[in-house]
Amino acid sequence: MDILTINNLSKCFDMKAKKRIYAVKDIDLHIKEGEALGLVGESGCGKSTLAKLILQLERPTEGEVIYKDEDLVKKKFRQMQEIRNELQMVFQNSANMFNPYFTVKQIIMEPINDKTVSKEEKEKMIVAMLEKLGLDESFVNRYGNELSGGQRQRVGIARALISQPRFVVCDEAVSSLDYIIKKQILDLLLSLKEQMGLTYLFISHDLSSVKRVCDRVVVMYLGNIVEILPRLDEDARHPYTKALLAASLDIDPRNRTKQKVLYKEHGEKSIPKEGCIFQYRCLYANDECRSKRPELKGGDGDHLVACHLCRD
Amino acid sequence: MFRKQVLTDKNIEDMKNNALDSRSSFLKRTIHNLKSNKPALIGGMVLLALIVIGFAAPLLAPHDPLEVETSNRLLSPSLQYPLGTDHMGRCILSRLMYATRTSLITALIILAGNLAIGIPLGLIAGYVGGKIDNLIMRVADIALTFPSSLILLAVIGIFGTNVIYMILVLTFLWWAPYARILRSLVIKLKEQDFVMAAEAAGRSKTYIAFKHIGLCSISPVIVLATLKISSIIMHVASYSFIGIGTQAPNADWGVMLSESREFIFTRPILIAWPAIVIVIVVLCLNIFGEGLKDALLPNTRMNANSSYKGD
Repeated sequence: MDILTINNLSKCFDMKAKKRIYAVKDIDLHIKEGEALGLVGESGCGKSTLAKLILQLERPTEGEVIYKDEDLVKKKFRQMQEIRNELQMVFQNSANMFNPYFTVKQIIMEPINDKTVSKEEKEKMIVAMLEKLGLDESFVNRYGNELSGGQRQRVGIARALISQPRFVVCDEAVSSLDYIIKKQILDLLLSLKEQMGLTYLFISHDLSSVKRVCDRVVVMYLGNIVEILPRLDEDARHPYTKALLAASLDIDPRNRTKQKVLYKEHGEKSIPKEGCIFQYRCLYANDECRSKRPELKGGDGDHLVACHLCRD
Repeated sequence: MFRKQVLTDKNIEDMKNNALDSRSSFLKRTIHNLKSNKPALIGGMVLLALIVIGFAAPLLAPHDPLEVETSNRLLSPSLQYPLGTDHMGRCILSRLMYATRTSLITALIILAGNLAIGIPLGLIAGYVGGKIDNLIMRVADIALTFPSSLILLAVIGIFGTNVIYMILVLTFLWWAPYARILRSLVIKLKEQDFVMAAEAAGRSKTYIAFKHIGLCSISPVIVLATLKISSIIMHVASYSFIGIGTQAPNADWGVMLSESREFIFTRPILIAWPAIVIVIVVLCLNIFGEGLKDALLPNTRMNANSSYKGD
């Protein structure tokens, strides 16, 4: 059962430019109810843009996003407003994540649109949510800029979960936390997922936390999906996924000296006119890669790869 | 982590007491920050006193400010005339009170006019952008480049002298800084993460415009207005001094200065009184404005006082 179906989704920020550059191009994706879908890729590959396109925080250039048999792209601002509490987002941590004049209470209260809920009930909900996330009620009257990075991140998570959503985008939700809190938050996200029946789109640079949480992982490169794989491990087949995995840091000191670079480091990082999206930086690119765009398909069930070289 | 949530009646009660809605927390925070800034507090109090004196002038003034008594010319301060009399035998204290009233009202009308033009135009320019933004900003540039005294002289040359012309000219020429600062703030604010987060939280556009963009841009405008009003007061006084603002025999700081000018060598004290009041008002406004800036703007608030948690 799919909670969200994304068909042919594209976004170009500057439609007037002579050479149109797509931040996200022709994305087809099915997000299953109750799964934690990971989304990985290097900085600037369109992960956050894709998330914002799904939630209609940026309007797509073309394509559709089907939720409950309705196309979100066609919905107007007011119509989206009605279902926003079901589709929430934990924003990437930054200094201007919260309004500097808002207290933590006001920040978390913002998604509770239901006017029938009394102020006391709202406050109870907020304190309960804060305590679930390891903060206490003394934070209620603090201002956003008085919080540390980790506290800010947790307030952001509390805010996204307070309205009892069905689908949550976690955009780098744990990236600025230390490892202890990171593990706690990841455990919490998983247990909340069980309790509330949530579906996650989990965006991260941090491959280890993606491994920890996700049921399925989507790998993006320059606005295109290059591989969808059940687990982020050695079974990766696309050269880019392999390169990404090889680039992750290892805490084992014996592995430190090994040079594991599986892509052309100085390769041109631009979108090719035709052929495979990764051709400029791929070590194995051949003539077919330069002339024909590979489709996202795969032999065995969940594992899809967009690569000419991974067919057999 | 998974600590059982304990909510006793007592701490719910505490929370209620701590609960502040956004308005009162904004105001309370500002007042709290102002209180800890002694010079600004004193400046604000002196201003408040002067405003009260100015507006209550008809009740407080010991004499009629226009009552001419040629037998009492140029008297020294006495019990009957606390600050003495001027060259026409009018009570200087009473005139000074009425002058405060006239000058402050004139300045406030001009400021209100500036804000009434500048704020909507700045908001529209920032929000809408594109051609309308360009048009408004070019008009603002023109308004900024026109020398107000020259325009005022031209207007008075054509229509004759009246204080209304000074008010109109300053109103229509001095709105541009507000429009500019608001435009830049709105452009900056509408791209902030928390604005998109509010949209993601399912809030309406009106809510976002008032609660986020409005709340964050109102403080700089208040601060700018406080600092600008002292310059308005100075200009009003100087135009009255050269005779193109408030007209004698009505009392105004500039008019009083101008009248005392002839007696600068014989009775220098006459010119000192209005000058002292102008200096006090402008000084207090500037100190108060600086204090308000520290109290209102959150980034500077951090180093001023960060212990305040809204209790």
